[in-house]
Amino acid sequence: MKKRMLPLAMLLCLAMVACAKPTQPQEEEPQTDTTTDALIETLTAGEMFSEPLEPLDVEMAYVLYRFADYHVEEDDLLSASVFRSSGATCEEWAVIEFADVQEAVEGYDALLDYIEDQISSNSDYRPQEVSKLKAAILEKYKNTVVMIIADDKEAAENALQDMKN
Amino acid sequence: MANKIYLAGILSLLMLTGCTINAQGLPTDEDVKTPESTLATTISKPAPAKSIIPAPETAAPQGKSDRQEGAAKPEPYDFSKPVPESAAVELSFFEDAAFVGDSRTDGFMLYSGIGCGENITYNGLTIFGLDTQSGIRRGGEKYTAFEILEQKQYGKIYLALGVNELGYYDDEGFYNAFLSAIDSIRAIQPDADIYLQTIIPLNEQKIKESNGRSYLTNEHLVIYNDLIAKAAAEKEVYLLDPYSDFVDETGALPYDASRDGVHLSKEYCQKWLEYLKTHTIGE
Repeated sequence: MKKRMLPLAMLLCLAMVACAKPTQPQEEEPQTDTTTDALIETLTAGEMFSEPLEPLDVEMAYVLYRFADYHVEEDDLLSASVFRSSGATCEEWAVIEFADVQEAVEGYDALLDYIEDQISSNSDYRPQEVSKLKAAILEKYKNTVVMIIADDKEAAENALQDMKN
Repeated sequence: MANKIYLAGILSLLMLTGCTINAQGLPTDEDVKTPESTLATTISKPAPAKSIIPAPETAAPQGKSDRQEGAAKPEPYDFSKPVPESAAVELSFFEDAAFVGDSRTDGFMLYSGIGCGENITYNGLTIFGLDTQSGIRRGGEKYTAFEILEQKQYGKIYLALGVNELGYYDDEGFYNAFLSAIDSIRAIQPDADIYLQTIIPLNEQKIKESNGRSYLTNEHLVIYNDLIAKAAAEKEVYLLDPYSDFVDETGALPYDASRDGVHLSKEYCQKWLEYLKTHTIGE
């Protein structure tokens, strides 16, 4: 009897292990280190935007996105590639690398509020741009945050997917 | 007898001359134009291709506004004319400046290279909404332009508004709103030099190509600039006239200065900064 029970018990244990669910939700971040160079190159080419965008330096990006209000110091921005419409549209993109993951979380929140403010201020001012803002892509990859407000959202998503692959 | 007649004639002549002097020497009510009567005249005239704001003649005063007590007053400043051109100041001049405006000024703050000064702008901000349009975010909260101004004292306030108001068709209201705004800014910022900026022209062809709003016309813009100039004179604040620096021979913003006919490209934001650097009141 004991000999029959042992394999059954082992089988039961194996089944329990196989069916066990993780206690923490899976992170959506890619498992490997994210390289953004190719993404930046694609975004800079500008094909997903309806007009040529103007580059913004790190200092102005820091002010524009009000990172100071979110306890992010300017030195915490290790790099920032930011291109923005000079005013004709709401299109812009930003790939910002922060000093650490926590700063990136704060930066993500700042950009989230920035997009919401843009929606609010353009609802009457430039209502035709609101759909682009509502379709904005905002994602965090470890200590890098990517924001894309494009005319062609599908192209933007494809560019991001290429980066993840 | 002849002498008496002669003397009477001379006396009569003298009396007539005195009446003429009194009529010419003292202004009558008809000579003093109220803002309302000036407005009526402005609105009824066909808009000129270019603004009628006179060119500055007098040199800028060396000190602050003559309104300050105890300040030296070498010559009375003519607030009816734009600030004359002077040597370019360093960017540090704008460190204690606040720039109040709409999306055009926001673009200026981002792309001109000024690198300092307070950005108090909001897309769609108008002269009517300085104390009601609470869309300017600070520290996680949203404020109106006046609420932002109340938080800190500045040395200079630059005000550039008017494009969004072109669709209001309320010229008198526009003028009165400027008068009221100046009073409010002066109360909030009693020591600041206030600069009113004329509206930089538009390119209507570009606006049309980008499906912009039909009410954005230079014809109406010029009327608004005249009202801004009158407000500056009325309230004795400094007038800046970037309009004259940007307008081309057709009365418009150059075609290549903007992608949508309204918002300036980076190059022209830098041109705007150069104008401001060379039109200041000395400290």
